[in-house]
Amino acid sequence: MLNSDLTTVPGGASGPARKAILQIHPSLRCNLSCGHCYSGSGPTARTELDAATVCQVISDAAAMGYEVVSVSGGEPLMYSGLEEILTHARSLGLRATVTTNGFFTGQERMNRLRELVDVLAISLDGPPEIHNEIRGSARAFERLEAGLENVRQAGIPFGFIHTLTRRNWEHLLWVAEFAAGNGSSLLQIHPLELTGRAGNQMIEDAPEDDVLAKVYLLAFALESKYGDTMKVQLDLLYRDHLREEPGLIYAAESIDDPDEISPAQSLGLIVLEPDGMVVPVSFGFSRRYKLCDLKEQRLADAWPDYLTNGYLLFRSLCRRVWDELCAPDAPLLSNWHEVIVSRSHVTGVISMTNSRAG
Amino acid sequence: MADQKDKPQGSIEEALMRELRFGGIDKDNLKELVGIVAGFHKAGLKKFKVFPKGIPVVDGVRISGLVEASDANRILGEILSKTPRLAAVVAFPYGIPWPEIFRLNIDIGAAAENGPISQF
Repeated sequence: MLNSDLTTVPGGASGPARKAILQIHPSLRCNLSCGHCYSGSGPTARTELDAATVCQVISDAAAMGYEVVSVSGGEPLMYSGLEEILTHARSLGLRATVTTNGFFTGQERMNRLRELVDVLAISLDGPPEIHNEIRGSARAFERLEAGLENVRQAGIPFGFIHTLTRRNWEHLLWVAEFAAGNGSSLLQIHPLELTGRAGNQMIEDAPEDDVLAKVYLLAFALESKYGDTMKVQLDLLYRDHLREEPGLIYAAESIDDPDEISPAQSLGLIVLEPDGMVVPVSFGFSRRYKLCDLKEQRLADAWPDYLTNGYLLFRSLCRRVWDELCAPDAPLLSNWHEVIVSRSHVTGVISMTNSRAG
Repeated sequence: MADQKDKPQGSIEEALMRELRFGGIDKDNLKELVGIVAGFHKAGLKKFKVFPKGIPVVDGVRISGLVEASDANRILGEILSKTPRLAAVVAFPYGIPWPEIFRLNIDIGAAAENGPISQF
């Protein structure tokens, strides 16, 4: 359930992904109601896209240069069309990742996914008692752990995604040891975002600046220890790096000529939400910045108009957020995704400047 | 109560976590550490360690990594200009068969309160 277009490794040197990503949230249905869920998914949610619609978006995205589909949710392993959309993505030569809570990783299911999934990302919030508390389930950790053997048996590469909070950061060494000890190839540490359900239930758990700084140091220590077998990725940006490289967050003053680059090069991550909206870079982005509403228009058809309107609005927003994050009194480390989604909902004067290079 | 030096220390990561949890590193040092670590990373250092200095009685933090001679000047320049509370900077040749590689140790901690010491 993470937005991962920033290939952030410890140190904050982040940037648009090497491979452009179509992130897909086909459904908000989930067996759990996690306190930190930014999409507000849960057992009673019914918002869902049919597989044919998702496949159409995948086809358009592939033609636009996107190379990876990243399926999240809701719980993707509860989505009936999952294998259909993964098979379609594979037929187009795309890589695929699936993010799961680890409840439905039975051997038969994992064997079926073996040829369809390049990386299975499993959410892990800490040691058993913390994981279960945040997940609202006494069996969450037990199920996750039991399923790991099935994932390994199936031969699916996997990693863990850890949502960092004020309370669980002190267990980071445990999390890393658990991940590495179980054969994980990735530990992605993502600070809690106060959006969705977390905005109501976990306000007190947001990690403050000094916790982020401590985790930043710890992430390097962990990378040093486990880096040969497990990549440690921390989704934070260092202020001075942002100042020097605004392009990391689409805030460069000039915009490349769209005739010379693909849509995927213009926008490294697009997100398909369960209501049929396609938005830039992060789940929950204000609809003012949408690429399209699938109920009205196909993605491929919407792109030319988006490029001359919505995209410029998006770049203008990115520039304003860059100004904010680089200000002298800005935090040393920031979670760009959280900030830009938040600012996208702020109404006010929106400037549209076209300063395309070339 | 057992003396601190009698406590089992565990790994470097555990020692660092202990310092971070129990306030062994103040906020200013923390910010400077983040800046140095970020600078190391941006300079392309893939492998370096961050660990408490002075185990078992911790009096600071050391960042240690290998740098190429061609990068050392730039990295040192950045660190010296952006980290006024340095305790020590030590660079020494990694040795044969890699004479162009240096190990760089950068210390931040209590010693900085007595004034910066730079050793080359």
